[in-house]
Amino acid sequence: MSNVRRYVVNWEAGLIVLIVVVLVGGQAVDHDLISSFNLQTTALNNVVLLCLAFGLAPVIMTSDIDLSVVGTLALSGVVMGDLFAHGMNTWLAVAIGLVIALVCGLINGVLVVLFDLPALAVTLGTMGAYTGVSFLILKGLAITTFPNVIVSIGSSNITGTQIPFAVGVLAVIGVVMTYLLHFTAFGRSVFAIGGNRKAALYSGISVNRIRITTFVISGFLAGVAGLLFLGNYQTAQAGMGASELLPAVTAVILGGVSAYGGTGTVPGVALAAVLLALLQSALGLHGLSGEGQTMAIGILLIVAIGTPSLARLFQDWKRRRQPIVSKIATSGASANE
Amino acid sequence: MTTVANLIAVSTASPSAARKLGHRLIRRSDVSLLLLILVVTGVAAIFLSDFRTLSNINNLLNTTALIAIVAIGEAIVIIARQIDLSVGAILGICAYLVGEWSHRIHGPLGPVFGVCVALALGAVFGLGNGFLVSIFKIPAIIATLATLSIYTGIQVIVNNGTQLYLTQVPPWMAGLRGNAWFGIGTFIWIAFICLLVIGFILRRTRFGRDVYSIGSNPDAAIYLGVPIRRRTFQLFALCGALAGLGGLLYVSQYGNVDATAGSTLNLTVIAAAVVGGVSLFGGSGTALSAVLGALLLGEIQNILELTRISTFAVQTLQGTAIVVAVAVYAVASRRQRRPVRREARIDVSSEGYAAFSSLDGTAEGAVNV
Amino acid sequence: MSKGGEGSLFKVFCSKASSEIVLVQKCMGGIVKNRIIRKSVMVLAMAGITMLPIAVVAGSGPAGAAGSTKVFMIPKFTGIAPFTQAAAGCKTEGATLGLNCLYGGPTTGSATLQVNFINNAVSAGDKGILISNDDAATTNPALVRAEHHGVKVVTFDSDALKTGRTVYVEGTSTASIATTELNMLGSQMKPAYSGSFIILSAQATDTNQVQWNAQLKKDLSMAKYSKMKLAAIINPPSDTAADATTSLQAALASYPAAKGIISPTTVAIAAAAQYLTTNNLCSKIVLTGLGDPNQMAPFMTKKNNCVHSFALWNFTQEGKVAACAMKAVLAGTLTGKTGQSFTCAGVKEVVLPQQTVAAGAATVFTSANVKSAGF
Repeated sequence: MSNVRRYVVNWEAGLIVLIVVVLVGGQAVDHDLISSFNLQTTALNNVVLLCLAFGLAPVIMTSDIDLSVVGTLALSGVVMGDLFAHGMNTWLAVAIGLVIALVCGLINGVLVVLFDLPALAVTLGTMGAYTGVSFLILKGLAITTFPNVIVSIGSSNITGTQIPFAVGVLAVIGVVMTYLLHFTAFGRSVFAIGGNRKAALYSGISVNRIRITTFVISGFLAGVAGLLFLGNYQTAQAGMGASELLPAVTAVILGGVSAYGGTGTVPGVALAAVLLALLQSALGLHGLSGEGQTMAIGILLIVAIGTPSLARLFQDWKRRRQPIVSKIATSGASANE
Repeated sequence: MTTVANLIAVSTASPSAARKLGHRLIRRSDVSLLLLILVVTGVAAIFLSDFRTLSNINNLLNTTALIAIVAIGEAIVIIARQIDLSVGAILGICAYLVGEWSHRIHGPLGPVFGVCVALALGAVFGLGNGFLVSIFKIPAIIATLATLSIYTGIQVIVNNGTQLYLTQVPPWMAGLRGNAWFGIGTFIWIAFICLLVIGFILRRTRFGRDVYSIGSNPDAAIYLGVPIRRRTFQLFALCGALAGLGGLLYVSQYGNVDATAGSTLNLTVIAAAVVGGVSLFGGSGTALSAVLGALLLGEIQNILELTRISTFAVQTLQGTAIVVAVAVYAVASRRQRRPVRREARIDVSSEGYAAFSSLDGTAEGAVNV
Repeated sequence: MSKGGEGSLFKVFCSKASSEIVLVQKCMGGIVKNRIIRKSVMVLAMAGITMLPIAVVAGSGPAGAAGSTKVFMIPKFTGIAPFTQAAAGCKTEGATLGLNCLYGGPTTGSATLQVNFINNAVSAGDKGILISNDDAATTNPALVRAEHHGVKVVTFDSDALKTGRTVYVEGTSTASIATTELNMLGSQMKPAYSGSFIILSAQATDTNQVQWNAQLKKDLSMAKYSKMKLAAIINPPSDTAADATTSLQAALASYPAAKGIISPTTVAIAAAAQYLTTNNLCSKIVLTGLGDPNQMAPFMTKKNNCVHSFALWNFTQEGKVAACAMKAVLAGTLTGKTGQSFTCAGVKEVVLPQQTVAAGAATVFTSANVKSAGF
């Protein structure tokens, strides 16, 4: 276990190094990266992304995927906004919105797990369905007035500090998710299912229950992301948040979670999101165009995921070039292990 | 060693059985889908007078043809248990570049040049995807997610702040949508030709057989000597080429190519393939499945438009249609196959098969048994 | 351990490991140092590889004349000619005024993406922001924050909320757009000025669309247009040709009595023209609105005369006036009060109610002048 952790720490260390590189390089070139305004606004721009990523992480770790998180975000956000506009008690409206998000996640879980359908297709369908319902509720309108407390959660700083409240919320979520996935039996089961579902099943893990739970978690956190979206942008409209899906998935993958499941850490996902945010900010400050920024993210993703494979290929190639004599000697030595 | 022998024995036994099963399955699901489409068409034609007008049918088929062509390419990739999320961007780049370059070539060689350039350019971008998947060993969903952003960026750079106007495009390309050969629109003919060609490739060539083996059982495919790396390149290139051809049609469909061309298409194309019965688990489905899926989705949208159901409901119903379709196919295919997925039962005879057809299908899964 | 150091340690402890995890398990023992060095080199190489193409793509950063004030122009989305022209106008006029007019924006019409650009402009120390809003409400918090930081905001083409900007430069006055559209449509209807029509607009939140359509609805109560009936305002989910076509198809099915289409957005009117052409509806439905002459020219020929007239204003001019307005706002001479004025390229611009400035007049294009437009 400690060895796995050391491997995993290598990935996080790499991310931290990259973050430092971006910070130092960006600051050196543009002198505006590390200012409280920039860091605050960059953080606020990316809270929704990170919240979605925290929810997607356990799902991808069990080798499923959930594309419908943006649909859940839109639906719960629209419902909350609509209820706010009708004067309902703030926290009651928030509770209803989060319950709806939970239900959306549960529907996903039931369809994918109990009916044994491919997650990609199902969540593609439910994404359309949930977004469509958000359109049915709000049509083309937008709600723009929100209770002050929601706005403060989304945009203000924690009293007395320079840290946005939303960042604090995310820190709490991050800690909870880290505990859940790395220090509980639930988390161990998640990784086991991702590594080898059949083996996990045969070792007595209730695979179905855990997989459904991951979908419920992703739905719930998508609802929380919707709440943060409302507070930050102070607008609710059908189809909101659609542009956050790909960046969220990118953050999860960049965070070390393998697409096949079974590896990755929650701090890694958080670091990856921070890296993406800083990279976009640094590039934007330097004047790189919008398309250049998205291209940079794509290239970073390829390099990050591709390098280990390339390294492995290189190792294989080196191993194949060894003279046969020493190969026999080592195979003898390793047979004696 | 005995484990390996077991694995090989099981693997040589099961892929051909699975493939035969798969082929029978495909034919049955395609036929039932065709029947469903006929029923829906019939009901719509009877109850909706606007549906059975010639212009409506013509419009429906032509719009669907564009999606169908790209969906066929996507189906090839999905059959091999991969996926390609970047087809929309490839379509957009090819639409712009092919339109721009075709203006230089005059005379009857124009269309030939245009089609060849569209296919080749699309194939190049597809090869980029194939490279990432087979050499860098990046899972297809991540690789194509990354190339989606990269190709979209290239699309914006290529467009350079303006658009491609209809006046800058040769007349044969501009009029493609409106023309008809023997009374049937050119788009429909092109889609039909693609269907025949790709259908033939998938059924009768070694490439096609290998695509099915890779999709239904990647590990067995390795043992069988399928040139996985080469096939991966080829199938992504083919998908890209068809997306490029779609780009050629796009110019005539919308009369104008800007930096957002094709962006709405990405998920629609996957939805069409899935609704048509191409399983995301790989190994089953045909080019016809993709076309029928595109047709069914297009028809549903058309009917919803004509019944004046709120345009806002369309997205919900389409999403639900995808989920329903996937569920129906899963249930139907499960009844065909042996019950290997029943969690509680450990069926000794099928355990070897079960080990391979486990849902992850990774090398770790096989070795650990 | 035989000679070879790290290599042989590798061989002794790392047998046929098939996955990286197993490799690490077997090798951590004696080769930590080398592994760390190797990983660091790999990470730094990754950083280098990632930065290289970015550096190439970024090209030269924002270079401007020494001493010029930096302002940042954000379009609804990049990639269509009107915004590129506005940017060019801002650049040329700005150069004469001592402004360095930078340009950048999202590739799709998303207000949440615009917020990133607004924040970056403030962080980068730009003194002014010129923005055409995808959604006034969504960008408002960021614009208000910018103003708190002393950055002046001037909107063009599509307004923000009043709290977020000093002045709004519109291409031409909203009132004239509405009446021009109604006149163009009404004059082509048979019988003239009577019948039902639909408006094929853009995203539901586009501020300028909302304003123009609202003005048009108000104008319909005038006697001249009393026989014209607005059946519906159609809002495609995105500003793309594909969505506009789909929405139009649905609309024509839902409102079969519609005899005309007003499309006040260049993307949708071009898509509509192509749709009507391919479906042979040109003689049955009148299409007009605001269009890009280059896009509409193919529909105003002898062979295909689907569109008889449409209007647009000069976006380059709009960009110039926006730059002049920004200069005046930065200098403190323009605060948005009705009646204030400033000069731009020799022309006096006056501030209208709602802190609005009209950059010029719209040009109505017919087959006679569509090709000659210097757009």
